[in-house]
Amino acid sequence: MSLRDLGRTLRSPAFRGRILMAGWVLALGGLLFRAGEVQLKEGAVWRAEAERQHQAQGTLPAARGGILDREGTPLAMSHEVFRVGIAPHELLDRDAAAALLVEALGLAPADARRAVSSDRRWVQLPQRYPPRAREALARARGIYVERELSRSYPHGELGRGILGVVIDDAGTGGIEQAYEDHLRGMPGSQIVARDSEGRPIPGETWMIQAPRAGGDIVLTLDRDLQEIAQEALLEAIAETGARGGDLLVTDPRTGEILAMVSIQDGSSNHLGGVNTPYEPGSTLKPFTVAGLLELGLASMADSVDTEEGRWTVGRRTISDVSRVGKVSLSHALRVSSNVGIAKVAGAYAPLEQFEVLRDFGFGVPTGLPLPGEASGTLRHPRNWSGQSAVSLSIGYEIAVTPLQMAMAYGALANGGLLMEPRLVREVRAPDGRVLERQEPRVVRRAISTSTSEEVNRALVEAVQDGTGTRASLGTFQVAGKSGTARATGLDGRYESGAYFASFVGFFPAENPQLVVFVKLDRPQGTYYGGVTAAPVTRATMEAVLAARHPPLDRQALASIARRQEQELRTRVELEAMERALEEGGEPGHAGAPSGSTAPQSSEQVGAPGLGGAGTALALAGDISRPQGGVPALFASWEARSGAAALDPRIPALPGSEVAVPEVRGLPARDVIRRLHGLGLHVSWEGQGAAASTLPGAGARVHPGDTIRVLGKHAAPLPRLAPGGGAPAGAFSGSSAAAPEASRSAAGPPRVAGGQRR
Amino acid sequence: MSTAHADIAPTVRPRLPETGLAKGWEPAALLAATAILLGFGLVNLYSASAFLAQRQALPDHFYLVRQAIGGVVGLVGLAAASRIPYTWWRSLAWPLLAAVWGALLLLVLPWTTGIAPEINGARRWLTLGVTIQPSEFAKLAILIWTAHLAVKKRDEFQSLTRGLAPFFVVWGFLIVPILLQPDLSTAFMVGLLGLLVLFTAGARIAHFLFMGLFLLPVAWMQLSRGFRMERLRSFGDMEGTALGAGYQVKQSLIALGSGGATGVGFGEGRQKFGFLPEPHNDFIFSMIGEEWGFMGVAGLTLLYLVVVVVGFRIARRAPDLFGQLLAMGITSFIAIHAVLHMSVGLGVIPTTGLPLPLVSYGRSNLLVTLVSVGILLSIARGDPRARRETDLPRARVSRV
Repeated sequence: MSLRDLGRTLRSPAFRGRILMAGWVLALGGLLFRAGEVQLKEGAVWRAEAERQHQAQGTLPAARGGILDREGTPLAMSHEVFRVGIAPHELLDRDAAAALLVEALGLAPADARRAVSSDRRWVQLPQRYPPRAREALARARGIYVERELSRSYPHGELGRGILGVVIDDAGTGGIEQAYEDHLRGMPGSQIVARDSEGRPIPGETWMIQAPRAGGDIVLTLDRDLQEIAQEALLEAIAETGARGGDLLVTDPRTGEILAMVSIQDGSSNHLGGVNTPYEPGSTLKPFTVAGLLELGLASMADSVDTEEGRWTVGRRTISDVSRVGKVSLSHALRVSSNVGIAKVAGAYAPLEQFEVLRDFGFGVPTGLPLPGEASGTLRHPRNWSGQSAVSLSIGYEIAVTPLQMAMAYGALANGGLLMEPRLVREVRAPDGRVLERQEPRVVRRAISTSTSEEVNRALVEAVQDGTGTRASLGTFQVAGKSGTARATGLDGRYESGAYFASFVGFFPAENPQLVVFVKLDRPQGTYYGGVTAAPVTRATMEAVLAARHPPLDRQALASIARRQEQELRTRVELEAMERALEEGGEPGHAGAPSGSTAPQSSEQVGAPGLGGAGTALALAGDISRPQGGVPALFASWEARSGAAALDPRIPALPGSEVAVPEVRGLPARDVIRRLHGLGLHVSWEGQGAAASTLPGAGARVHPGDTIRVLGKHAAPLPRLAPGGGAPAGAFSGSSAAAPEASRSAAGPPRVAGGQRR
Repeated sequence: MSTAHADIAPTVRPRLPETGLAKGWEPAALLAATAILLGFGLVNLYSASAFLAQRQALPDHFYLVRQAIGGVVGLVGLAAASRIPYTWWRSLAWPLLAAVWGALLLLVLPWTTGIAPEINGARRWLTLGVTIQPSEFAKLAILIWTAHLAVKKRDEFQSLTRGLAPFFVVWGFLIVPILLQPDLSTAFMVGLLGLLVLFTAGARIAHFLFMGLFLLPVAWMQLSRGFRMERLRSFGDMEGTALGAGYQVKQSLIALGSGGATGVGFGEGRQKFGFLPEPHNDFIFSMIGEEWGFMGVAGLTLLYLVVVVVGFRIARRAPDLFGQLLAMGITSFIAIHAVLHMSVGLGVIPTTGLPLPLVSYGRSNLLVTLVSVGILLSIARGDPRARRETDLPRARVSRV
């Protein structure tokens, strides 16, 4: 074959065709080889890459457990809500979609139109919608609904400090945080197939693990009491101009916390009751005395010379406002004599004094399951200064939390046992099974029962005719102690003119069922605990008694009431007779409490005097001369409240009359709310809806007065005579009152006038 | 045998039967491969386009139905073309070219936007009741015309100016409007098809190289315009711009790779959910690779191999040079689309929008492909008149 022939052959279509075919076969073969590499050799790598971008590990939120009060009323609960997203370019009919959004979600027509006609691929509506929104939108194309769980608090801010909040699915503060693991449950997980824009592909979801709902927490709190406490505290803060305050209601028999409110600068989202220690002042004195009695270092009958209200120990002078001279220890406690208590406390060895207070739980956290509980400060004797023993005896150089104080008073009330505070009653599984029931736990016996009874007697007297008369209830004997201490600022120094006013009481004095702790932070004007805090205690107790289902042992109360009624009647008769003999029987004053002027005066007495300088400087490591008493303040207080109230001719609070509202037929709770709202106090008589009030609707009364509300059904209990100027009580209502009793009151429209102002 | 015949002896085998009828298994194999590709294509097209259709607020079977209608029309065209003697197309070489050129002009003229609207930045479709993509028809037209002229000018191929220049001039009339649409890959494809026919007709390799040099600056000018440049540049840059061309190649490889040996299962593919661009069209091979795995890819490749082998067998047995060139051109037309589409999917070449023959969505391409197969079948059947009416008189004339 010639070269020419070869060239021709190479250019022949047959040869070119073979080359071309070989080219295509090779190309296809090469591609098949490359596909084999990609699919068989590198397959796993690409598969992993594919999974990474296709599947989103989605978490399925678990329903968070609820927080319930002791009666099972939900205080915090989770419910389903839905978020709505729209893919505008998938909508078949934008007008119909907009109309659907308006109808199903209540969107404004303009917003709906904007959402469906957006140029964006995905429009997420900001709101959350209830489950019915999902049903309405389920079939709509291009509209996507995503489930979410939302936390709600049916009672708003009530108890918010205790409950805490849920932020970003995590409990923050309070029970929500403390029981986070239990409440949260176990979120489930699913794998969601997603398209390139990250949207789930319908029907392409695989559940990996189902979510496990969280369990409920049942608190010892009583919703009604919590509300009563909150309202009472708010009212007191408004009345006194205080910056804030704490109010605790506990059951001394079990250590259960029934209500706990802390308000600071208008917000109740606080746990001041457990995390903010303060210097208690006079409210600590009962423990000083209890320890002395327990250790046999003194007896209530021991007499002590209060030295004209001034006593200099070392370079420091302690003072009382009023001079009571030589009195028994019992009397010194009742009138809250700083000098008297401090002198008797000198019998302590430092370690004894320390151990007594420590045994009452001071300086040690109570172990309440809430985040951030403070232990307070109780220094060991080796760290004491020369003044420490004296300061401690009257409640200074010690910082306690309101909860510690309530528990310590609980120990006085229940016969000497320091209880562990309980806030959680039950921990329940998601199906309602009780996983853990927390029983009352005794921390230790702080004092013997007999000692506690002795101290309690003095505390009852303090309420009857000591510094705490404003806490007294007509119905039951109340035991309690007031305290006024100088407030410390943020820098730990005392602020001039700033005080903590407190009152801790329990009732009934015999077999107490409730301890009520009240502390007001920097009340304006009159700041004494006996004047500002004690009425709050009484108002709280009254409201509790009026509540529909108070956590009280009604039968025990009834029997106590019956017996007290007998005792009081005897006493009132005796007093009336005495007065009739002495003064010629002016009925208007017959019932005026003999102790409500002088003994009251002794309360405030000491606290500010000593607290003023002594402890402030003791804490600062310096000693200076204490300030004098506060006679001017005291005088003005007496003129305004005490004396004025006793004289029916002087209005309690000029220019602030209110009309008694018509409450006939309303349920008890509403009546109480309305009257409380007007600044009136309520004394409920009988049961059922309100039938009438005394004074009647429209009558002009003053804030602070007590309105008697008669229920439809008369209570079976005999009426109590108003001892010490107290109003007719909760269980009265019959006309069995002694004539002396009605005479003793300052007249029906001003039933409680003498009590308040 | 006449001397005239001897002149073109290398193209027509002396041992061919006088009838020119190529009986045997080839037509059946070609029809079977075509039918399987068409059926398999429709099934996968549904899988690929259902989600896409729904996202566009269309019924899920929207693309399937349209493609199926195109398929039916195409099959009618195939049946007709297989019965019409292929020589008929040769007589239509110039009119067909003129018609296509006219249609392409409509796409670039400024006052024809009413029937040639701009879609996604390009004017590629005529909307005349049905949507037609003239550049697809240009592919068949250039095959027929080039084969026709190649037969005619065969003796002058040695000369660049007299032999090849006329081809380039006429091709230019087709290619320039396609470039102006703009549709670079189709323009490139049309030119390539013409060159392939010239190659099979026996043009000099040196001329191809020369032409390549000539085309380089033109190609560069086109490439430097707009998104195509970015596509090319990001090629090989797999981790590059998230939404760039590197992303597309990566998504394609993820689809193929995750298919593994046997695939994730029909309809179970994930990459079609917005990850693969145009999963029903430019990247349907990748989606098939995902759902059917290497098994499916191998099957698909095998089917195209059958088409290639059968096509060239038909060409070899074609009664005349025109039939031979046209058969090789049509076979290469199918093969080049398959190879380039798969190469894009496998990341071997930069991303271009080329359909997978008989599988990708696109009715113009489907119709043209099926008619082309019909022409192949017609060539396989042979035409007793072929030699008489074309080769012999032409050969004689050319000698004169």
